[in-house]
Amino acid sequence: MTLRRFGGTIEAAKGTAVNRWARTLDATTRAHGAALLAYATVLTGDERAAAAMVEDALVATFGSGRAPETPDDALAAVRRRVQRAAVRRTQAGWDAEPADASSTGEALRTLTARERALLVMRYRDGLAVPAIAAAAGLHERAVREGLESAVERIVAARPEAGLSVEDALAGGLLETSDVEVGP
Amino acid sequence: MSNELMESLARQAESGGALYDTRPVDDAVVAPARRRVRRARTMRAVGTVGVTALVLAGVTAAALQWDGGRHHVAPALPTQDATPALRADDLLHGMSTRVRGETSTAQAATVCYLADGKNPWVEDNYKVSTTVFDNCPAMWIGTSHLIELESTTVVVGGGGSIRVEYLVTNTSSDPLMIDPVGSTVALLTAPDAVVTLPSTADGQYVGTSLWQSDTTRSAEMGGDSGPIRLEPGAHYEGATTYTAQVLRGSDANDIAQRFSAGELDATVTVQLRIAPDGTPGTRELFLEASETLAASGTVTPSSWVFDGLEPRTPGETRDDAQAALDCRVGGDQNPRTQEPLDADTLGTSPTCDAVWIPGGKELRLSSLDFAVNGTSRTLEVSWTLENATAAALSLDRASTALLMETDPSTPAGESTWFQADTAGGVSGDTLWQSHTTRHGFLTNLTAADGQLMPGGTLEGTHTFEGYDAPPDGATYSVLIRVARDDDANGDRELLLEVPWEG
Repeated sequence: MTLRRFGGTIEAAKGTAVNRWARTLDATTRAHGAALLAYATVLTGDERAAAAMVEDALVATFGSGRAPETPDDALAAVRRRVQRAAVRRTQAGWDAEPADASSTGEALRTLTARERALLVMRYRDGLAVPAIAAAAGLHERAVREGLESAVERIVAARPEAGLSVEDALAGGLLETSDVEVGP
Repeated sequence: MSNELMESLARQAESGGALYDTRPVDDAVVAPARRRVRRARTMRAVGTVGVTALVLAGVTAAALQWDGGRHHVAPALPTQDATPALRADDLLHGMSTRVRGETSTAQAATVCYLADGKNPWVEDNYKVSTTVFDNCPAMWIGTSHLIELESTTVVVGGGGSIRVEYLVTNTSSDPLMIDPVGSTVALLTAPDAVVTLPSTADGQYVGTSLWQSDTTRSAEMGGDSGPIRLEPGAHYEGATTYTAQVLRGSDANDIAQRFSAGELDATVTVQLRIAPDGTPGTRELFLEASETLAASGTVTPSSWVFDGLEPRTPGETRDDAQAALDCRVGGDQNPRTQEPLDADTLGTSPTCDAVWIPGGKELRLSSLDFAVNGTSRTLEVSWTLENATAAALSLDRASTALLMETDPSTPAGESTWFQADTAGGVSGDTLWQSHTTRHGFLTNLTAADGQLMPGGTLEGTHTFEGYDAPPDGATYSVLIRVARDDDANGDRELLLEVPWEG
């Protein structure tokens, strides 16, 4: 019995192996890059931070263990990492003092990074507190505190925004798998 | 629900998504990600231990440049965040002596002092190579912790390897310019003891303690370096696998078994290098963070094929035993169990224990033929293995390698070169890495569904590049993996080594 021959050095072999995950990575960014960047931007309110977060999430997803085999698998993994990073982010220049805001966009800028990310997951993704906690890797108590604080800040800066702490804490879906990302 | 809020978020999402079309996102996000992934996976693929994954979270907006240069050593960031990251020189001023056994709310640190020209992180001094320094005073910095170790896990693999995963958080109020790649992870059994100089390699150490005296610590320097900025509250994740071979060569050679039996808690200590301001000089600062915890996982009883193995040394010959390599790689470093079957061909050449299997020869090389192609300068070596026993042998016919040692008189560990290819061509002056270990070869290819009957043969061919003729004085041997009942376990592999004696 003659064994099959394979050419190339180990370096070359790493190249071919890399190409496999690289193809999936490229396919993921082609198919979902815009949606992921959009989602990270909404979570952070900051385009640069969003790009850094997506990059880090791609590295974490493809850089160790068995890389996802399809763009859809990768999307879920990257998205989850972006969520987790968003609630742990610190940002420079944050003003803790709520101020009058002429728009909800301005009111959002009064939130801490975690508050903002939690608010997005609650209202844009439509998730309930337990689902947010599971997705973000936080205790439910931390999610409730963050949401409560976020809503209070928004209401303080923009009373007409129509938010309430009760709705923030009681509403939303428990499932996280069907949530869409993207604009 | 607020329509106003939803509209505002939708506008931002649209803006973020539009970035993908209007900005050089491929250069800024995808390309750097690809480079970082390639590096992490390359390290894993060749079985390198050390920091295998580095994931930044919580990086502030200002840490990213659209040109993808966020990993520059000293990036000039024309952004809204002008806060400079603290470097070693900023922290070296507020130090006080730390004594073994002392506790404090201050940040534990180790400072190594080097002679001019001896800093291995200066490019011109690269040949200094990785060195363990034992004269590094232990210090306290400031009044509170700058970093903390969190989410640490220590998991014992079935084959006796140990996997450590951890997360280091910047708990200070300032950005830190850290160098995780140049840092060391230590797995310790008695972290407050004083020990003789330990050995570290590739950023990892396993043993008793890092204390060299009541006031000095050991630290490893050299190798790769990759300073990055870590914002307050942000963290990076690291992981390292201590293979069974590394563990057995340490002064804590029974550590996996003791962790497995619950006899011992594990202490993980990270010595995090803080990047200097400018070119590395005569001082290096490492911030230290430790966590003590119980390990999980257990060493599982090994397959019977590993029973009764005896050590083999260079030049030793025996007629009453089969030469073999015992490769304790850890399942996550074994391409056969780590990579899917349909993945591209992947090979690694781990360090394996050279052993004898008592009971006589199991295989012999019945032929070895050479064919040289002068045009392409390739040396094709064809071989035939024959079952020399009266019993069927369970072998993996796809997992073979041909070892070529061009100057076998070279002392173990002193080979001037080494090369391996995916087809299993492994060569060097000598493939002995120490008096007890040799280069092996593992691949993700496997075909273990048959047996080699008594007298049965197995043929193979390997091609070495860059040869006009078989090297004078070279020796050859074929490796083939032993198929086992517990093949799903990739922690450990047994490779029969069959030398050409013609």
